[in-house]
Amino acid sequence: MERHDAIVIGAGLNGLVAAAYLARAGLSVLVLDRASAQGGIAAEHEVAPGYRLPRFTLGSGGLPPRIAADLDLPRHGLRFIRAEGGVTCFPDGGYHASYRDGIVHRREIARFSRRDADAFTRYRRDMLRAAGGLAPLLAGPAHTPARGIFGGLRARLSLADRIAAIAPGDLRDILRLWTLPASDFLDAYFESDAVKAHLAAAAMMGGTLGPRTPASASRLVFPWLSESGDATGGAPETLMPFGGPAALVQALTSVILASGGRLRMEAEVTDIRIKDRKVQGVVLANGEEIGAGAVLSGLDVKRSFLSLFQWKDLPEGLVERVGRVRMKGVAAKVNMALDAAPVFPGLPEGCPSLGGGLRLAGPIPAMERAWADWRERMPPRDPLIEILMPSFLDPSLAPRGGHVLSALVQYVPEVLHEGPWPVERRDALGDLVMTRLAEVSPGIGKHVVALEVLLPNDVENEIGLTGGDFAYGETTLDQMFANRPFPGMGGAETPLRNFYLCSPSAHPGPLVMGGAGANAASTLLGRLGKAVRA
Amino acid sequence: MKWGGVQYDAIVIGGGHNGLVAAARLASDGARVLLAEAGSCVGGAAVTSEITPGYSVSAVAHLLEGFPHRIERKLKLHKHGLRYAARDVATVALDRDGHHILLPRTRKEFAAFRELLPKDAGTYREYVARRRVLAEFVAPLLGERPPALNDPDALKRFLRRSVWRAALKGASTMQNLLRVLPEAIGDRLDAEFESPLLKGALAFDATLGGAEGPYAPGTSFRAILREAMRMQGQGAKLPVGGMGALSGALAASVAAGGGDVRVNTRVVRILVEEGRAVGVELSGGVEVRAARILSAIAPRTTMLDLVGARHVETDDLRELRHLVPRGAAAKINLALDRLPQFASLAPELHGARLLIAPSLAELDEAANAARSGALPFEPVMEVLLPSVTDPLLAPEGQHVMSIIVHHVPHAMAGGWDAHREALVQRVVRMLGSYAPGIEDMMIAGEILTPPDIEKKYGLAGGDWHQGDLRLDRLFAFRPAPAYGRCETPLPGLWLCGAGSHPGGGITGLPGWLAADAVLADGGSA
Repeated sequence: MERHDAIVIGAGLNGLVAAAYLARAGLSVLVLDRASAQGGIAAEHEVAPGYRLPRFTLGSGGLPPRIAADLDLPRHGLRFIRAEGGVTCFPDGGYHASYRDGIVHRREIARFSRRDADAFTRYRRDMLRAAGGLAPLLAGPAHTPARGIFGGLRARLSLADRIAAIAPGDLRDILRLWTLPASDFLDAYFESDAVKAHLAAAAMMGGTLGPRTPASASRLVFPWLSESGDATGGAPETLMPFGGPAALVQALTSVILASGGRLRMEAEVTDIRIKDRKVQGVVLANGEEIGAGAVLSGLDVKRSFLSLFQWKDLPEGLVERVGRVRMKGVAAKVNMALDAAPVFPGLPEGCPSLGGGLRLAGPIPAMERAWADWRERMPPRDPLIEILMPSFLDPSLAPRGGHVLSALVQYVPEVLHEGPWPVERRDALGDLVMTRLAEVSPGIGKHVVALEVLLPNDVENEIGLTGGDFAYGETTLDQMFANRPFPGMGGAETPLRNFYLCSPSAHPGPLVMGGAGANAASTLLGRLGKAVRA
Repeated sequence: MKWGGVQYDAIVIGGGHNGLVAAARLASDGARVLLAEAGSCVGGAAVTSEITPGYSVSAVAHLLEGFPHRIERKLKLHKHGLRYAARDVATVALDRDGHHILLPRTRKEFAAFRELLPKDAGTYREYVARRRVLAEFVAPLLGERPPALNDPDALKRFLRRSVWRAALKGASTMQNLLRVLPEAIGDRLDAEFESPLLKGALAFDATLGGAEGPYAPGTSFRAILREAMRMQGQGAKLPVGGMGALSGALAASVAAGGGDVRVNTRVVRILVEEGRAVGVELSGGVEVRAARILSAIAPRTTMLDLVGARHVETDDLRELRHLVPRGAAAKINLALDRLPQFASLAPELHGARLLIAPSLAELDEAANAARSGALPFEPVMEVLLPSVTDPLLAPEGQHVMSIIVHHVPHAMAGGWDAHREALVQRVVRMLGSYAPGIEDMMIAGEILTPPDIEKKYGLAGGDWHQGDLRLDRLFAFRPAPAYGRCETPLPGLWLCGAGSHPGGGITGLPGWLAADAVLADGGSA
């Protein structure tokens, strides 16, 4: 029987990162995936012949520099682009853009309110401070509560002392961030609706909270997590791999292969062999068995436990606890092929912040209405739409003169109130996106060569991601840190020996790309007594 | 300075129940106290009013849930006439088809509960036990002043003591508490229970009075907080004669201590001299001086309107400006010519707290509607028939009904005038589907929207919590960090209303704790 030190299930981004770490540490690693190409939800896809884009994700976001450096990715041909923070277009024809340059950004805010331009300095300072406090918690493995009566008590007493040492103002700020609605939080700084909507739109993407839901303020910090803070005083930048997610996937694959790891596509794992609560290896769909010292699952927590194991082999209560993890689809993906470059007459010529993405959003009450529609499982009337046009950066993604457009439509329920999405509702959603797009880019409809609408359900059916939840589990505080994926299992280690979770269902979740994969690898290597080889 | 020949030690602004508690406590301690109430009667939200001659009802708040026994005893409220028509009032989740759920208080009731909900009964018992452990941890914190934030040693002592206390309650208490803090009650209930009606009732209790829906993060902790409040007050009670009886007894207690309660006396300014509050100016221009001023009205009004922004630090100003209470509940009081008939509701349960909250979905929809300034399509509510246990409230054989409608917006899109009638119709229609024929029993009625409650009973924003019960506005942070211990940065001025720790509801605690602070500051001298 074939045997490896470690098997990684799923060749998505985090699976590849974990495999790359393990392979570089000298382990024999095998990555298995049922799809025909690597990449998972970021896998590249042709929407029409010659038009390539990531099928399910938007394709923005980059690995943290630490992981890129650990894995020596630059040597494998990966480059990151620092893009501006994006631009939001409003239904009234106005827009608001983000710039990294502090002076330019202040001038942009001052178009709406001079007071807000001053307030931004305060806002930026507070956001950087909050991000500075949050980043270390997200960087390493989750801090799980110490076990045992005395150990636990000692740890908590020292935590009490550490809390008491935080300045009262800071303590309040931390609480505010995790309890306030984003709208209230922004009201404390800004007066312009456009400025507030721009900041809220960027923050609400991908989350299950509305801008006026308690605790949604925490999402405002996320864009600042990657910001070093020593830049030029403007908005946070967006880091993107040059060539899109495909380039990132390719670089990771090349690292794995170069270190002696192997990848097998079209190899679906249907079962995990387990003996005395110790994982022994995997069984493929064709009946083939492969032994492994450790198995890492890049699937979401529900798939990992509920579909790869015989339930009777799992410890008591685990099935229920996994079942309670909340995974909710919240976005649809719309992919488009265009035979000409779209024009945006309302935006300044060559607006540089377009590179960081284009958002179509109403003011905050409209966003809240969209969220309420989602809660009531209705198709959104005012969806929040985020758009990337990667072919502007990399013309090779489309035939000469053509472009690809990738859109995420936020607040799209997995199932409608009336039942599964009927075809006409799906078409109506596509039409709504086109209508919104045509408002900022008149005539764009004439250039559409192909258009596909992928609902949360499609994501689940095609990739196997439960609920089509791109966050792999809601990112509310009760499902983060030591509580991710669920209380009692914080981090990559599972109640089963030799079985690890390397998907964003585990800490740190989707907030740090590749973070879950890196954590799982370092947990396993720590177990084996090996150091991570930088 | 004297007023009417009296030299006062302390002046209490606002005669809501918290102002009365503060005044009564200071008076019983020997201080010469003046309580100035702008309206024509004391009590604030704890008042009894006549719907129509012969039919009286608690106008706003209608149940005494978290009023501590020790305050009752110390202020001799029994001697001053406070009696109870009902103690430990039961809670019943009403069902249209008559399968009502009585939340069990005794072993016998639990047996019936298990019969009705065999699948949920065991889980419910665990849920209640877990809630009780956490509430027992929180309850004492509500009855004491929070630690000073700017004193790291006191804060450290407090936190260490809390850790020990939690440890004594079991190793997982702290962990459970930290898990519950950010959780949404709806998510928790969905994970544990099957019965939509049970889930609706439990979530209703956790969210009542606030604007958040059951799926808002942080609402799970609200259930703990409410349970802790209940523990403070030892179960829900109905005062004989309605809530006004409580205020009456409190006012009598103030008078017995030699304090003056003056109605129709509006304070327009707090006098500040050399950085100290030294007295108040009344609307007629009269100045009354005292070394200690306690304000039971909203913190924002107190500091910005009565003290004046120029005496407030910039950072505090920013905080205070955002403290705009916005009520999220309306009150409807009805006079009925006979007892309404709820399908197969046991006769002894007609005096119970009747909840109409069929499921989490209904609560969620109502919350979402209210948030966008619209009326809930199917209102969720808490219904009491106080005249069942307190027959003097209505003529013989007739009844009064007191309804709190949850999730009603303060700012109604298109203005309230056009929508009052619609709300009443929806509420009556909803009631009618539970107690058929109720439309024909109505003799008279009144509706109080959040702005009505504000205007008529002086409750800022019509918000009975006087500011959100969110973690960043609780304990030492309530209403704002510099004001967290009932004190204000202005020497001589204290806050003693529901805007202060531990918050709203008829608990008397903010008033009691403010009196603590005043007494700690140098007694009644």
